[in-house]
Amino acid sequence: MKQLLYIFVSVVLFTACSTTYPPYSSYDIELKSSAVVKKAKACSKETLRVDNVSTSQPLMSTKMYYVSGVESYSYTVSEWSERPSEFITEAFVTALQKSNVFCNVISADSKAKSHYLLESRVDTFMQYYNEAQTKSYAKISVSFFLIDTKTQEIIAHMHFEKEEPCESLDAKGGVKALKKLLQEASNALALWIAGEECK
Amino acid sequence: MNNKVNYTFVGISVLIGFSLLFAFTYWMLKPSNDEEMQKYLIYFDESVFGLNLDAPVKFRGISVGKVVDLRINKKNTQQVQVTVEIRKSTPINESTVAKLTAQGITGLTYINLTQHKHNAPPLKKREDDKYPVIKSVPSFFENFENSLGEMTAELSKTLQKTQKLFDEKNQEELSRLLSKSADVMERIDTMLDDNTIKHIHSSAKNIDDITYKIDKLVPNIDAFVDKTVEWERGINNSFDSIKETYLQMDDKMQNMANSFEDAKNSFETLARELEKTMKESQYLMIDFQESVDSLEKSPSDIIYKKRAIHKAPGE
Repeated sequence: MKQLLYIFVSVVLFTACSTTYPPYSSYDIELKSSAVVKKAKACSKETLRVDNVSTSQPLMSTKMYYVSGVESYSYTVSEWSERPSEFITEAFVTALQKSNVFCNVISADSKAKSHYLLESRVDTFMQYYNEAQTKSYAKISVSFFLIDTKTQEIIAHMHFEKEEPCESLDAKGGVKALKKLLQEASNALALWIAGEECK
Repeated sequence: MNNKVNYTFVGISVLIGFSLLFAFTYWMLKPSNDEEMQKYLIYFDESVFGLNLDAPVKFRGISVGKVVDLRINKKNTQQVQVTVEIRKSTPINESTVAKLTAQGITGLTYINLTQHKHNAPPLKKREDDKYPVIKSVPSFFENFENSLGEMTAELSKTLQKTQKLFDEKNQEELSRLLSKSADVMERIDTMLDDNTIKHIHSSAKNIDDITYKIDKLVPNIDAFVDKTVEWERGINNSFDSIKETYLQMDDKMQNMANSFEDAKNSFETLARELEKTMKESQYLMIDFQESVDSLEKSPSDIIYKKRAIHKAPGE
């Protein structure tokens, strides 16, 4: 009798394993090297620290969220391979390093001291559908603040916001559009920093 | 007795005698090399009264020559040209001067030579003179005469001024002054009566007393000054000590500042590490929250995935 009970429990548990899930797709955004900023002949000897971007909770998750009408959902079979807050930060650091405006561009984790600090706040980085889900576009909205670490005062700030229609009505189309928008935001950041540095 | 005279012998003897006499005379008259003389000219602007031919020429009291000629200078009749013969060994140079000097009370005069610079160049003959010319200086009498003349003139001037000073008008003024002086003296005498003199004596005594007291006070003042100096030194030492303390405090503050800086750096590092950990924790909490949210909506999903999957566009 006792053995029958064990077998029954095991069968019940193993039936859970019979539940099948569709295959998952992980998306990664890897930006190409930016060529929008003409490299300076001699970079500034000062150090720029790029702080981690400040984002809302959905962008700290690997779940890929989208907005349909006014409701927010997550893709069931698609997800980010890396948290958006992290790859957006990396994209900004990489763009600034390649612009060569500052000789030293360090990340938030670095122990070195810096002359300037770049804070970023990402308000929107998401794919949007209309209610009928017949159209889709991606949107990015990010604000940058350049801070003098000595005086703790904001020297300059910039806001970048743009929308990009998606090629296809799925996660892949959204990822492509978001990737393009992130590339443009990084380029705009590099140009802005170069301009600010030259002042 | 033999009267036979050898005339030849006599003749020879006489000849030898005369020869010896000539030789002796020549020896006597021949001037030696050391005694070779040099002639010089001296022009005197004063009278050479008492100076005769063969009068001695002395150099620092030593007779070194004599006067060989005396005449009036043809070029300047106010001058007397004296030619002297002086031993060549005498050091005559451009600084040598000749002065007429009286020889005692005899009225005779000799020429005294004086040299001012022993290293002056030797005296040379000029083209228009026959011999080298020694400069002359006025004699004592000449100087005395000149001085006397000047003194007489000055005395005369003084007398004239004295005469002017004591003219009638000045004499009246002087009389008035003397009269006023007498009045003043009389008044002083009146003022200096016995009481006044007593008062002055009293004042002098008081001054003496004050002086005595001051004398007694001076050591105290000295002691006070010494104490003040000592106190000042003490204050200085205190200030030095305070300064040293401040310097030490400055060092300590510097060390503290360095320590604070180190602590700040450590704290910053720690804060960064903490921030990193917090971020990781935040991510973990978000994942956990998402799972909890999912289970809250459908608890059976923990074993059976019963909740209907909301398919996204394109899925």
